[in-house]
Amino acid sequence: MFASHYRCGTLAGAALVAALAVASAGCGPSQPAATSKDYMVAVSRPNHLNVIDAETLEPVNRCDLPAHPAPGTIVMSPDNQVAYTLIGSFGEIYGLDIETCEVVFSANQSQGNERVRSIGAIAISPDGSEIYTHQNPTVMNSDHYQVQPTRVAVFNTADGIDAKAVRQFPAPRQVTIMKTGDDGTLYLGGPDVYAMDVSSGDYSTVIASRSIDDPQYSPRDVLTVWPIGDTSNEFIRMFSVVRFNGEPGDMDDSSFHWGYERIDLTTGEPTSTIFGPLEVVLFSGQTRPGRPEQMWAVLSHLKQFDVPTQTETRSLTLDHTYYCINFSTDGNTLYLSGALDDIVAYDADTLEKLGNVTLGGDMSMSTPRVIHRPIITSRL
Amino acid sequence: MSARKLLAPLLLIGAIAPTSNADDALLNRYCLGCHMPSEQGLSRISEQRKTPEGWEMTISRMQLMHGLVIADEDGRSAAEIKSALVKHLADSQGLAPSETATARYLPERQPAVQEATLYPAHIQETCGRCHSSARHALQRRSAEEWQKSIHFHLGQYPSIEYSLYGRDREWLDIAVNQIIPEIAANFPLQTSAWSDWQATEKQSLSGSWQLAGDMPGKGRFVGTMAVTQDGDDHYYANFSGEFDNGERFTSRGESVVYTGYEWRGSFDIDGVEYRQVLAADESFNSMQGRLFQADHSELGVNLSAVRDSGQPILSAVWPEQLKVGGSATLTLHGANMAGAVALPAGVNVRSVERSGPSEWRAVVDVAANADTGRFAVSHGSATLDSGVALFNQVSAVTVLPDYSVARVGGNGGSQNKMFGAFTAYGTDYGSDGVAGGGDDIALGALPASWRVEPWDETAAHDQDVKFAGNMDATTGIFTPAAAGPNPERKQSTNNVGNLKVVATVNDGDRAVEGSAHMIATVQRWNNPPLR
Repeated sequence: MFASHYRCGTLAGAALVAALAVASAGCGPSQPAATSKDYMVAVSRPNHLNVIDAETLEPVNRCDLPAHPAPGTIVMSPDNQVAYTLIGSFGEIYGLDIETCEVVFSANQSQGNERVRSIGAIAISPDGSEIYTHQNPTVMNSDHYQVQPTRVAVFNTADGIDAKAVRQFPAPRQVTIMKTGDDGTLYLGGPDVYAMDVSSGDYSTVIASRSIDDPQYSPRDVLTVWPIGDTSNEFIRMFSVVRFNGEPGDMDDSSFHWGYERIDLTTGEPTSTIFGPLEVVLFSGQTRPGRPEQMWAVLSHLKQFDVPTQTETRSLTLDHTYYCINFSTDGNTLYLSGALDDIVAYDADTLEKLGNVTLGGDMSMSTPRVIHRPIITSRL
Repeated sequence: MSARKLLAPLLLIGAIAPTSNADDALLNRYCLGCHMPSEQGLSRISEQRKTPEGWEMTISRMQLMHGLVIADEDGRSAAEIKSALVKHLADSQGLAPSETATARYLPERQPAVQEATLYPAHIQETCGRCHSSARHALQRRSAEEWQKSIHFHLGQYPSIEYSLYGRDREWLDIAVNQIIPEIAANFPLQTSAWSDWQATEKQSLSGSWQLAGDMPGKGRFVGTMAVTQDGDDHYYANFSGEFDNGERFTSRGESVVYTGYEWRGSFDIDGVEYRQVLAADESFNSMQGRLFQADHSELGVNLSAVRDSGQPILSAVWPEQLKVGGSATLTLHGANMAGAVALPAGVNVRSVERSGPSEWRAVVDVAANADTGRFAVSHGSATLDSGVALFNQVSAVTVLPDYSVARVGGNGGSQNKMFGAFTAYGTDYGSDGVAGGGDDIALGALPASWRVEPWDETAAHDQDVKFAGNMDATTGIFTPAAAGPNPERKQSTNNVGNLKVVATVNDGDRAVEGSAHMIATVQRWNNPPLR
């Protein structure tokens, strides 16, 4: 577990401590207690919502989820009190108070003979009043299925238990992740990246991806079910692409690259760029908070890229596979999670391993979150 | 066409189980709750034709996913009722022999078929990326029914649109508007093959059968099967056989014949459960297929069976190859053999050790100047064309399968290991010494010693040979290692491996090597009868 110096809050907590104008010379009992800090929220098998002190990597609460934990995608209320989880075999949403474990919101997306599945596409409005999901509906008749057009559904969080969608809008198929901008725009990651007005349902393409027709590049391959990037306030997904350096289609004169499609959720500015060479498969990546020139990504390796020069700057071979990457809110600590049952923390400057926490059950494809909120008294 | 109409011709004939009011009542009893009746029969069901395994999987899916309950009833067990449903559907809405011919590797569980050479890329990318493309090639449906199949696929497995070869294209549009019309045209519900087969008079498969084949790890096989019929399409069989490694067995098992030609036998051979999947040809005098272990379908015998009607049969010559200037014990296997043995010129019998109706064995000398090539062998009026090869040298060794998969298993998990199983085949390049020069002589399977090596630098670096399993040096059977993450390996990876399988054949003082590629990988979790 953690080395003692880390327990003293000199890492992830450093910025917070500085902000509170607390002398950092010591970490003994005389140090005034912080009133807020970073936590991680993660879904794990068989049915747990874990709340972890991100500085000490000590679990502080563990709630039982009322449904099968897949996919385990979480969005947090703006006050970071309620975790809205997409679970129930990709079909149900449950909102749990992360301190009391009380279920304060639920919605079964399937209704009547229509079964609905959402891959990893759940988002919340900036004011916390609305939950958005991208729905893959199928009408199940007595002797045959009929796949329905996909859509975005809107739920009022105030409707509490057994909420029903209050609005539905047609949406493209094959949407895996969504996030909301500070202005309330809903961004959908599908064949392209779309921006939707959640009042009217009008949407338009903001980043072309599949629709790009550039003979010097192969079609992009985008694999993501992880709507990460909270602590950089970004919508971000990676793509892999082949660049033909000679004749289009000539694989003998080509190079493989990683790129990202990103929306700055503060400004709404879209970016679509290659950020480095493709040498190994990576699953998720985000930019470092406050350091947008640094792109970090993970699978069996943790890699740092320099976006302006499109180069790989650091690489660490990991002890096993991690699907999901998160940064602390101050950008100094990296958290790798997903796949198996442990979350590991690294110092983003030194790549020193700071410690890990074992959840007792696999996270699989869940999307853990890092949040900053008032101190939670451990319930464990 | 209604099931009743489909079966009308069959009511007049012998062996195939005639449909009955009882069969239709059974179908109605279990299917009518969801499937609507019409003049064509029950909705969906009447629009499809499948193999016995296909129907079994459909009914199993109804049980697993759609609430179908089959329980013991009226003195019959649930398993018997399910079997009766499968039998009725396979008989009345099955496939003609010619309709299964190109995809028999699927029910036979052939372990190393590469479909990339059998189906076009767009079919492989749409269908073959999740299951074999033979799955649809072993079905016939109406065009509307094929469309419903797509909606089932995507409704049941929404991840189809998001996984590799799905997420990079407008999958649903392509499937509905491009793939399904092609499949519907290639695999329609109504075919002359099926109507002709329905009109064919089916014959009992009872009687004596001579079998021959080969099995990786054990070598060549010969056997006999004495089959007696016990009611409609149900048979008992006394099955005995021997391998050229000396192993012998006898077993009594039973079989059901579906659709008039699909033989499905079960045998306990020395404590191991085996399945026999054979197809009778349209003469009902020969059958082809495979015998395989129920729990390790990768271990099996490719079989040919010939009906023994009292005529002389020469089914195998062991060994299949004789080196010129050498001597060997030559054995002819068959039935009702009598009369003179005719061997290729230059093959001289030194002494006959045994001469009976089912086996003739002699020590032979092969003249140093004998012509090389493949030659017929005869025993009386029974002839085996190209029954033996005379050769000068083993020029090359080919290991088959040339590309295959083995899987970790056991270790407390739910899945068995999947073995690798290999055979070495020799070729004499002939007088020109050049492969493909026109005088190559196929020598058949040869004894070999076996080992595995790393396939590439990564495999060497990761010590795949150490971790992935063990190759039996004598049999060519590769036993994968235990399942699960291995903390001793980099990143605790499973005991997977990228391996080169090497066979060494000794030809006098020369050692000739051949190799194949084997991936030892993780378990396959979904193992239905048709994969």
